[in-house]
Amino acid sequence: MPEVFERMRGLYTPCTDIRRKIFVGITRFVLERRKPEDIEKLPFSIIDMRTPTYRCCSYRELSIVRQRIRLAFGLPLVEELDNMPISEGIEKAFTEKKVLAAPIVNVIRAACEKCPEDQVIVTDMCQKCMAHPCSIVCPVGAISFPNGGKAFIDQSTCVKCMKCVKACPYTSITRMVRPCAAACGVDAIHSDEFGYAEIDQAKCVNCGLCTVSCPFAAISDKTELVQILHQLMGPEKQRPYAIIAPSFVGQFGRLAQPGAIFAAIRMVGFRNVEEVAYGADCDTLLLADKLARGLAEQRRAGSAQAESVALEPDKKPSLRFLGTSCCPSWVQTARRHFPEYADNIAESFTPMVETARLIKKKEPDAKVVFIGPCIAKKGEALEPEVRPFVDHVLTFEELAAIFVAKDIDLAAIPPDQFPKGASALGRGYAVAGGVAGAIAETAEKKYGVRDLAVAKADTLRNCRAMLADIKNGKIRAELVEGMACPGGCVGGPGTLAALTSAKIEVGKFAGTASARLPECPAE
Amino acid sequence: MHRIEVRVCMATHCHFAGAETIVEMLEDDADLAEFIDVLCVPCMEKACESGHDSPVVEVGGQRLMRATPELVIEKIEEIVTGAITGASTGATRSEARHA
Repeated sequence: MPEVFERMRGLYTPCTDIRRKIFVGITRFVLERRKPEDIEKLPFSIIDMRTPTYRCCSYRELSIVRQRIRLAFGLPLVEELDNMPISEGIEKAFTEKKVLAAPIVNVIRAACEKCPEDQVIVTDMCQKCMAHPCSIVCPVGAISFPNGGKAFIDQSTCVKCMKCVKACPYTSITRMVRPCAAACGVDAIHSDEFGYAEIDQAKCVNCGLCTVSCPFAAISDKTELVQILHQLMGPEKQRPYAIIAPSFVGQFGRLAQPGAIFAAIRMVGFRNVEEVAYGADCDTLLLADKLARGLAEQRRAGSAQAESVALEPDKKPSLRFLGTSCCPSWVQTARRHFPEYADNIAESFTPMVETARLIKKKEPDAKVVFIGPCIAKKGEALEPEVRPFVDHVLTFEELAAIFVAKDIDLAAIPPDQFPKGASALGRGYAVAGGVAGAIAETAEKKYGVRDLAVAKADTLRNCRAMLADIKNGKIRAELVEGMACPGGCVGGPGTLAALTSAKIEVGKFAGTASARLPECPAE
Repeated sequence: MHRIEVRVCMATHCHFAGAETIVEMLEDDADLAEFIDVLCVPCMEKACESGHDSPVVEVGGQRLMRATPELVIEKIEEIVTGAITGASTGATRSEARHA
């Protein structure tokens, strides 16, 4: 069974529909230079008050759409109970300056269905059978048959051991976990006192997988669309540069060539666009170098240490590893949950920051917008050490909304040529295993590092399990790659393409690179 | 029998409105494979009105606006059933599948 966040992915559902309609709606609103107070009219161009499209009633739709608009403007949520029009303070969002502030990921309570957190329940398939193995295997006596009818599980007694689920001959018992919480790899989602989902912002690492896993679209991230649009509409010199994540290939439809994507980004007003794979190349070289130096030392001392560990199994193996640093959600999760390994995660800048730095070096006042599949980058760009380099963050989906609102068809425009591409390995950063693969191959070819012990995991739950295994000595690792999203960045919440096709396209594009091994212009 | 050409617009507006899901559903459907050829095509005369009626799909020359996988498959089955029974209506979707 696929993980909860993989089941709906790549499918165009009404949740996708409403999100995209709002993005296109507010983009047109800004491009048409409508007045901020007109925002109260915007919901009515997105939903039809006469016939509910998404929900039981159009008034609920209206309430939800209003709140989604606030978030899309980058502003804090305004709920009905706040008794405030959505236009309240909205003029603050009509600027080219940074408006976005934490929390990035928000629960829209008006949209939340208050799903039970975690329940083992008997479905209609129960046949009231004679054998009733369910109640026989139940270790806590939680199962009864009221009035000789179907099995009933008392939720206050059930310990969710799953024995009844396995024993039922009709597979009529199932476990229902709230999708947002099931998608969360850091256990940040619980219920508030009314039963609505609530995000513990101290635990949340902004991976955003809950936003694409809630089947009621009740969780949403904020966007910087409006502020970026203001920059794009400004005078030539103030327009931003775009830097685009390696996972961009194949995100805008089968007929949109990489060169056409670049051309379209320039057409909407960005001064230029660079591949973040360049920055990935710099990172690969940096980490391969660090790894090679650290390993030489460590492997010399290694054999003696391994023996002492075997003699004292309780003592944790102190073998040092190098952790990748490009996925901010993974970095935060690793540092929070395994503080003893905090120093193992490379202190290097991420490919995003490296790429932005190359631009700011040439032009210190330039604005840089990162375009990627990632919600966590919105959080990363708020960090004081990243803020000077990356001004704003846009997802592929938000960028596509700008294309649509500006009537730009990527299938019909002539593609730009890539003047000098990043390396094949850098372009491979988009897919899980690609980062560790790039570092390992570079370390081998450049420094002769052989037989590298590599551990890698995608999704935060798997990442945590991997670190636990390293901690208790089950896995030996010298290089560790962590990715918050399934399949790596191509599985990010801000993507448009299905995972399998996206992976294939990234591979094809990497194959067209002029070089396999990285080079860094900064070096 | 004559194969039905299903042309799915893959221009940016239609792609953004779910054209990819339609193509994937059709390509995944082994039952349909013997009846149809799926083509991803560029914009068809801007029929979508800047995305308002996206996605646009043509099934055997018949144009569908605001298409969904369900609508497209329904149209295919309608044409297939029509070709087999000589009647354009009357057969249910599952009858068409088993025809």
